[in-house]
Amino acid sequence: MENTEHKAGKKRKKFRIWIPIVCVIVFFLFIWPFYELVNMSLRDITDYSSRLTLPEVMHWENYLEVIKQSDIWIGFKNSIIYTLTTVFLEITIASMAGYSLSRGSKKTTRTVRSIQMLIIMVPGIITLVGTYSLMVKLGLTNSLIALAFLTAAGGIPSCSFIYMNFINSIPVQLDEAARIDGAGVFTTFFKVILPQLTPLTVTRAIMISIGAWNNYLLPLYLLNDSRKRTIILVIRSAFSINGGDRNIAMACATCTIGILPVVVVYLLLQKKIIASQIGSAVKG
Amino acid sequence: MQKKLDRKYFLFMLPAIIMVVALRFFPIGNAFRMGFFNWNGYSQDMEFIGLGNFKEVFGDSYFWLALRNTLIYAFGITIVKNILGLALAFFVNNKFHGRAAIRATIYLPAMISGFIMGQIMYYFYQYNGGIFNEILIGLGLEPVYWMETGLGSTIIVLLTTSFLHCGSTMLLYLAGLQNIPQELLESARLDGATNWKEKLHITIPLLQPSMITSVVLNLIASFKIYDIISSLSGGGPDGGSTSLTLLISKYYFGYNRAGYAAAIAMVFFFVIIIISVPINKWLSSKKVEY
Amino acid sequence: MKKLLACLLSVIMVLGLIACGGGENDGTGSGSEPAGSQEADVQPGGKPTQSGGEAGNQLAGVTLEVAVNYTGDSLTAFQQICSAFESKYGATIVIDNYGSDYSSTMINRMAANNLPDVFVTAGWSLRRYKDYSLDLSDQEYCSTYDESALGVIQDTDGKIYVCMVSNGVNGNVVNLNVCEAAGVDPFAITTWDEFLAACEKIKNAGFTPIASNPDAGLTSNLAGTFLTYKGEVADVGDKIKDGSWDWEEYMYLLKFYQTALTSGYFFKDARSINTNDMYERMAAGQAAFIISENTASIATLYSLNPKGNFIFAPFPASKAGGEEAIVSGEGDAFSIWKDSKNIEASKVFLNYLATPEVTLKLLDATSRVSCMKPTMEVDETPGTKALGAVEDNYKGHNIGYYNIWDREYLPSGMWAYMGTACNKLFADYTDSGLRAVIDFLRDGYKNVYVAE
Repeated sequence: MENTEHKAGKKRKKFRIWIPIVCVIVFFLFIWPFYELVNMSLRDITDYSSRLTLPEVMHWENYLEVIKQSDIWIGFKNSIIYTLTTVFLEITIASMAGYSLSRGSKKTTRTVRSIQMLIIMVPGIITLVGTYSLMVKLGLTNSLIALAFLTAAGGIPSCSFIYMNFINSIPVQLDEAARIDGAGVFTTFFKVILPQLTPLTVTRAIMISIGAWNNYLLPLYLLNDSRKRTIILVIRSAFSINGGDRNIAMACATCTIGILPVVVVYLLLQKKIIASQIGSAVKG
Repeated sequence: MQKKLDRKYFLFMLPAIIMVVALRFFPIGNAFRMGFFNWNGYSQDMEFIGLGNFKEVFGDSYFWLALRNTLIYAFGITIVKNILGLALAFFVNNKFHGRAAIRATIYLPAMISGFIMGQIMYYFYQYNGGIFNEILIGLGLEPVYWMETGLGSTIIVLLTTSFLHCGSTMLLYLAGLQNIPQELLESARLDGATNWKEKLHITIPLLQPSMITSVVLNLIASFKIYDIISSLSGGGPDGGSTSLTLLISKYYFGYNRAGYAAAIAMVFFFVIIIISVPINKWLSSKKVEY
Repeated sequence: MKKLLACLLSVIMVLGLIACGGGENDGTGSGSEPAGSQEADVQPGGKPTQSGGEAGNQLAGVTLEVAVNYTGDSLTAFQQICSAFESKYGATIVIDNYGSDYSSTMINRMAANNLPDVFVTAGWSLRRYKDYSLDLSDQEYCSTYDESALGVIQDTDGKIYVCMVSNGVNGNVVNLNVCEAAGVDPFAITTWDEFLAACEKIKNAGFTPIASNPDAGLTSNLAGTFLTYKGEVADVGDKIKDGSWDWEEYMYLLKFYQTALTSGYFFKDARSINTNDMYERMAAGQAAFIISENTASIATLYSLNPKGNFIFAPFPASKAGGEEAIVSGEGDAFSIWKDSKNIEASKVFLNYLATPEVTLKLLDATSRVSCMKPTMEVDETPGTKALGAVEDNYKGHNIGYYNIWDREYLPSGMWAYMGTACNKLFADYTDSGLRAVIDFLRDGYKNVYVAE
């Protein structure tokens, strides 16, 4: 163990034999649920054979039938409306708050900070219990926009502190220079500061989108009009056992198509998403 | 000048404050008020019953079961996810071809709705024709009834969630690992530290900030667990794997007992305060951001 | 950075385009307005949105909002019926399909006093929706109701609030192939004791006798055969109705399940089996009976296994000489909101639904049983056939036809408690477990009982 530089290198090389094996195991473990999903989606309704192997006849027409139904498209459309609104609300309001926390009086910042944890920890169900009857009375159920407000409110506390941390690293001189040029606080923020934060805004937008797209509890109880269902609720109703059609294969096909956008976006942007996760862990 | 500016900055925070007050504080207050009434959630007449609901909560065996499960979920998932995440982070931190692909695969399930993942995983634990039991039968073993007891189901939900979502914890640790200065590890190796010793005595202590962040984030998320339980075990058998979130929604929407559900929600809220206050204090003493 | 943004945006846009395209393509079949126009939330009694069809303009410019709980084939059939109605009368129909969330949604719409023009009553035309529904007693179809239907929907003062084109009929389902293989004659079963004896034989032959999983219906729907029907072990109907019942007699029913559970007549994982799974196992010939199912399940079982042999059976009696029972409740039943702005058009719509041809189209999909005399004469749909076969299969049995038990005897919030209680029973069926179930139900009953 003396001439380490060389030995350590050698040792690591030896260790590498295990890497491909572990790689394969890990890969298959994490892909397995998705394999089963696709596997089940390709079956005939009368096929009860083992789910470990692919069915003998692949019923791709299950997918065709799902695409033909309007439900899934309504679901996509609603999910997009809901997601984009949530992202817009949360980013705008949280970044403004973050700016204020960074540049404003330190006393306010401390006060806000002390209750932040509590707000973050309150589960959505408590919000739901407290607002549900009121939303019914005001006719705000089945409104994707109202739902987006409710969702965004939950994300604002942590998001604004992430913005605060990033804005802290932007020198105040920049603000002052803008102000000397005659820009108001509003212009300074939107024209000078926010553009500096584009990378952060993009990564936040991605994370908020995924959260909103996957949200289940609030849409479940607040959207019961079938024309307002998000994609998750469409998938839920495909698996639901109320009524005449108990077709697991079709439900799985719906589910596969339903998660496809997330998977595609994830694969396209995976480097970005992972980097943003790592980045926010370090900085925020 | 500064004062005037401060006021303008405060204006910037106003939308956030309005949102949080209207959609977070108000609901908590309203739920607190509802807790004192016998109310079905929609009729015009609410009957004031004082502490009646709260008294009933503490005598409700389903409440205690759900509270126990909520604590098991919160702490269990946090622990298992951190162990898995740390191990995977060490593995992925090795330099080899395809590590980006492996990293992406591990994180993939965490990107999909917990409701959907639970729905898929249900078919793994089925007794009859379930995927795990098919394997056991293929190996010549007896099939196992995975969801037989409440505690068993709770642990299955716990392990499944931890497994599916450990990708996010892995990324946190990966970030921490990449922040450790290489020289520190090199010098440790020069001092003759073996691979395991190095990890145990040098790397892990250096990961403390990541660990704190990860524990806090996971605790917060695991207290809210809802989606995956509802599709994986449905909270069953006989409420054995129900969490407080599920129980509250069941009382509110299933039994139409809004007042009682609100009372449970308030008890849940106080449980969260009891847990979050010391964490908050401890964190600010550590000066760690989350 | 810009590339990334562009990439993300283009993905979103493509998705958006696909979504809108899909919506338009599909608008035609749905009978409701095209999915693309979801922003234009059509209110009850809303403004004219469309000119009338070619065949007639009697209701041109009227938009009817109809709330239903259909899914799958039933929904498709209902949408087709609505399209046909639209082109015949020139009205526009907006379907609110609430699926499995139907009752909670409707409760909230009642709270907001904003109901759709026409809505499915799902079994609650009297107890829950009466105060919100229009009295339809003067409608022509009300004079054509079968006796079995009147028992379900007629109020004590003779009023009828619903256009019920079919009954939802509930009983046991039998897999004849399994019974045959085990040497059991299901047609000879008249009491629950004989049912258990048959189960023993089936179990010894290597099958699982009962495929059911715990839910409210498993106990509630057959409770009458222990508690309230003619010649059964208990007769506590009056007590239940006046709220003085202490639930002690419910022990008879629990004891029956205790025997079945301790003898291993259910699947080992019965307490966590889901309904899809239950049907698959029944269809695959692993089990002989499902206790408490509706006629529609027969169609489901045949779709899962076209070679199977499944029949519908009455609930056995609790003792010899007691009455076996088939229970039925509101099936495809529609009410009109009494404050609707389109009452006349809604009446036309209900009359249209009540015509035999239209009803039969619906019943083909829902597999329920017609209950209006003109339709019954020509009804050959699967549900009716399944029920009709009961008469032939069970000749000489003493079968009573009753309203679904909880709709007749229990207050409206009780169903959820019955479900929890049944789960409790399956989790713990020792003597102390049964006691806990009764205590739980008694408490729940006190919580929801309102003297009517």
